[in-house]
Amino acid sequence: MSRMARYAEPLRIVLFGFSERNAAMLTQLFSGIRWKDYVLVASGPADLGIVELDTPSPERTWLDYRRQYPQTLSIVLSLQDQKRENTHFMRKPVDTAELRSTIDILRKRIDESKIRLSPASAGNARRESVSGSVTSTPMPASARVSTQHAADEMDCELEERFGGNAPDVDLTDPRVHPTVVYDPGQYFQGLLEQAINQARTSGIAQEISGNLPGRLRIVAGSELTIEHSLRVPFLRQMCLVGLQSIKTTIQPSYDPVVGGTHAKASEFLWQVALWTARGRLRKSIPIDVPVRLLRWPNFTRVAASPHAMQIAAILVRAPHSALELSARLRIPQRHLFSFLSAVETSGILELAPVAASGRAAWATRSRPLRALFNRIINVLSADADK
Amino acid sequence: MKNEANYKIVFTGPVGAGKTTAIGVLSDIPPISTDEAATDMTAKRKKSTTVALDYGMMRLAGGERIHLYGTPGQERFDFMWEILTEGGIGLVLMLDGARPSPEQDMSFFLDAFKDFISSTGLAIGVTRLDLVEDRDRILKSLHERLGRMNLNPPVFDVDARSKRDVRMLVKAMLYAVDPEVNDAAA
Repeated sequence: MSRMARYAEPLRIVLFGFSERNAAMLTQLFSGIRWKDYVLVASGPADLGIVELDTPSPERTWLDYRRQYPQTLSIVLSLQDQKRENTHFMRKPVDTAELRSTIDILRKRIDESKIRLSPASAGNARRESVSGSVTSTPMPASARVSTQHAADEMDCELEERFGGNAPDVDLTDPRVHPTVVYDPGQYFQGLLEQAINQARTSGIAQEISGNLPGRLRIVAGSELTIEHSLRVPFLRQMCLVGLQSIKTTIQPSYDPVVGGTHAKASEFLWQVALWTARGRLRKSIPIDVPVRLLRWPNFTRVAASPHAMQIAAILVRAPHSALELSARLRIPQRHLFSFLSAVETSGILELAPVAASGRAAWATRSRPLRALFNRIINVLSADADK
Repeated sequence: MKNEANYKIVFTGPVGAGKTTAIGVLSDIPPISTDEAATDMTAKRKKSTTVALDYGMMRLAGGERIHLYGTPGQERFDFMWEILTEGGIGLVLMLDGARPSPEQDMSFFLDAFKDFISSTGLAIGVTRLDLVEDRDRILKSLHERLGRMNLNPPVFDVDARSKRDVRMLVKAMLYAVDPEVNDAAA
């Protein structure tokens, strides 16, 4: 049985046209354990769309949606009959069981179409260029390299968890830049950063409270820690939806979270940054200005997203811009962007505008031991979870 | 061109930092250790200590082998260190984060191996940080000292008993030598 048929990868669903209240309700619904095969995304590539057409201007909503998602299979929700091409209509009020069975049926169709293509080409075929047309850009050679099954499995999992499936874009075109950046302030990440700063400066624990199915507080001390009773799937979901959908506030907190999970704030924030970035570049990182990594991330305690070690090794040696790295590394841009976003969030990335000459010795020197190192790394990457 | 049979990764660091354990979790053969009952200051830290060397081996595809050598932690055995580094492709420095001054330990070993690390790779694993109150302060202090030495190797908080941690450390050491190493799961 194929990986797709086992639902190893959550299906990405985008909500469109929803009021804050309705979006929040659906977000809660999708955070449930029974919905772990589905993940809501705020923007970017999606496998399925759910479109609310009871808006002040349904036609405009529909056109806006199709402009962003021209080919995406969709469920249309409305109080009135709506006939739209390539959609499934559901009349409101929507029964959640019916919604679920409809999504499951549509998922089968989506998975079947993926299986008809090779796994690699399926990812590319779904990619939409910024102008909205479907492209078939070949996947970089490095992304096809797979020397071991275990490493391949891990790569797939990491891709889904941290990089999403955002397509490579032409970064030399400045008009494209806004499509690959994200503003953490628009997401839970921004709220978390704010709460961490407040805890650090005040020395008082801060709690993020609101419509959360659990508690999350930042505890001040010699090292800031996070205490929370939220499930990981919910945290992931929360990182993907816009902040307007999760009504929350930051308040001083004096009651510990009993029986919750504890984590170092820096490590928790790293994880949240990867979940939020999902293959995008944090807004504060200029695409064309060289950046330097002040030190290696502590990869034994924070998640190493795909190609993170390679990028780290380069950026501790010499500054490079995201533009340069993307051109030289031949890895999917989403992996580069996710990693840069996480290190920027951790405060270990700094702008280092210097001339390009003399910075790229790593890229021109042929290392005699490279093949040997490759073989060692292959062994070290096998059974990585042991 | 180096002889394949002599490729090795060297583990060094003070007594009790976890060199023997790290080699044990990486090795594909039961590690060979020349531990003896500790009789000097070392006895305060552990019952036995490595007096000659630790040895383990990683098998690569096609039967190739990477030898893993651990140096004795005590300075009076430092005459062996130069011999052990011959044919080495990198140094893994294990530090005990719970010792009074891991920074001084680090400086000592980096100075002792400076010729070796100038031509190969380096990664630093700091163990027992779970026993200290301010882990970040210790790591920050190590980074600051490394900066003054004009070095910026990977420095990871590791549990020497964890295969994942030790593998990550060695991988980082290899990437630090050659960032162009290609690994689909990197």
